[in-house]
Amino acid sequence: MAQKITPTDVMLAVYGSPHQTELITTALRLTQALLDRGARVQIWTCGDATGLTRSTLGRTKPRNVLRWTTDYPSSASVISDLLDEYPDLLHWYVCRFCSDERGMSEQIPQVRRRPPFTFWDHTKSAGKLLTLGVC
Amino acid sequence: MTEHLLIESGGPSAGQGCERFVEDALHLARSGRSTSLFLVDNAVTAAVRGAMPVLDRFVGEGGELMVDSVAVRQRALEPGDFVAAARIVEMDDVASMILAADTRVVWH
Amino acid sequence: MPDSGPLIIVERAYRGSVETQFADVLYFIRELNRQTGGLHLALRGLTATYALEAPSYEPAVRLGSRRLDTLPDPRASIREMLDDDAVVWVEEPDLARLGPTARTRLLDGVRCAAQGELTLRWAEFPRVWFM
Repeated sequence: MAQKITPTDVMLAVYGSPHQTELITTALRLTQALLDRGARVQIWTCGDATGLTRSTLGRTKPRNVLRWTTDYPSSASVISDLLDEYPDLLHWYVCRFCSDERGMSEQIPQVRRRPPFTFWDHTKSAGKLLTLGVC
Repeated sequence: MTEHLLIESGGPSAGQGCERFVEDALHLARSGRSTSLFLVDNAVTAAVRGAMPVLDRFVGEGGELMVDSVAVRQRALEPGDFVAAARIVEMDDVASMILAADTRVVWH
Repeated sequence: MPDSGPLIIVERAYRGSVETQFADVLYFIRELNRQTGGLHLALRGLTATYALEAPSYEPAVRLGSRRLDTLPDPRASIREMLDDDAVVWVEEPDLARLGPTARTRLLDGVRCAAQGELTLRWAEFPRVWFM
C-alpha cells in the first residue's frame, strides 16, 4: 500500500553535497525561517545529502583536539532535534536509492526513506518545490 | 508582490551558470513581469559594483535585487561597495516571499 | 625567504558551516604549520575574504531551540596561524573583486601579492599544494 504523504506548503529537494558549499546551512536557515512562519515543510535529500541523517554519524562529531571539552553536534543530531521539535510541521525524506548506493542506508528514525520514483508524488503534495544544488 | 523570485547561490566564481541565470532574471523583468533576484551564499559577491554588468541591466529593467545579510557578513563584504540598488534582507523576508501564493520560485 | 614548509593554496571557500564546524581546511593547515615548522598559505579567489576583518559576523545559527555556535570562524583561524608564524597571502586581483574598500579591511599581518608574484616563487618551495 502506498504510504501517505503529509501535504506541505514548501518542499526543498536538496541535491547538493555537504562539505562543498554553504548549501546545507542555507537550506536549514531557510527551513527555520519557513517554520517560524508556521509553514509546513518537507525536505527530500538525494545524492550525498542523504548522508546528513545517517545514524552512523552518532550524536557528535569527532573530538576537536584543540577544544577538548567542547561538543560539536553531528548533522544527524542537529536535524533529528529539529524534527523532534517540529513534529507536525517538518518532515524529512531520504532517497532510498541514493542512500543505498552510498552505503548510507542506516538512517536516524525521524526520517523516512522513500523510493526515488515517489519524488513526483511528493512534489504534488507540496505547494511549491525548490531544487537546491545538483547531485 | 513579486511574480518571479529567482535565487542564485553560486555566484560569478561558480562559472557561467550564474551569468545565464541573471540573464534569465533580466528576460523576465524586461518582459514586464515583476521579478526579484535574491543572492545568497557565494553569490552575494555578484552585488559588488562592477562584478556583473548584466545585474545592472536587470535592475535597470525594474528588477528587484536582494542580498542575504548573513552571507554578506560571513564574507566580510561591505554593503557600501555594492550596486546602489542592492537591498540587504534577512532569510525571514525571503521565506515570506516564497510563501506568497502568486510567487513562483526558482533556485539556482 | 620561505622555510621548509610548503606553499598551500586554498581557493574554495565556505564549505559547509553546519556540517563542518571546527573541522574545516584551516584546522588541518594550522596543524601542518606547526608540524612543518612554518608554511605559507595563499588565500585565492573568494577565500581571500578569510583575511578580511568581519566584525559583524557571528559564526552561529539558530535551529529550533538550539543555538549552534560552533560554526567555522576563518578569521580566528587565520589570526591563530599568524600568531604561530605562518605566512598568509592574498592576491591583488582577488581583493579587487571584493570591492574598493576590501584592502582596507585586511587582517594585520596578512601579506598582499601582485598578480603572478607568488606563482613565480613556486620553485622556492619544496611543495606546492592546492587544498
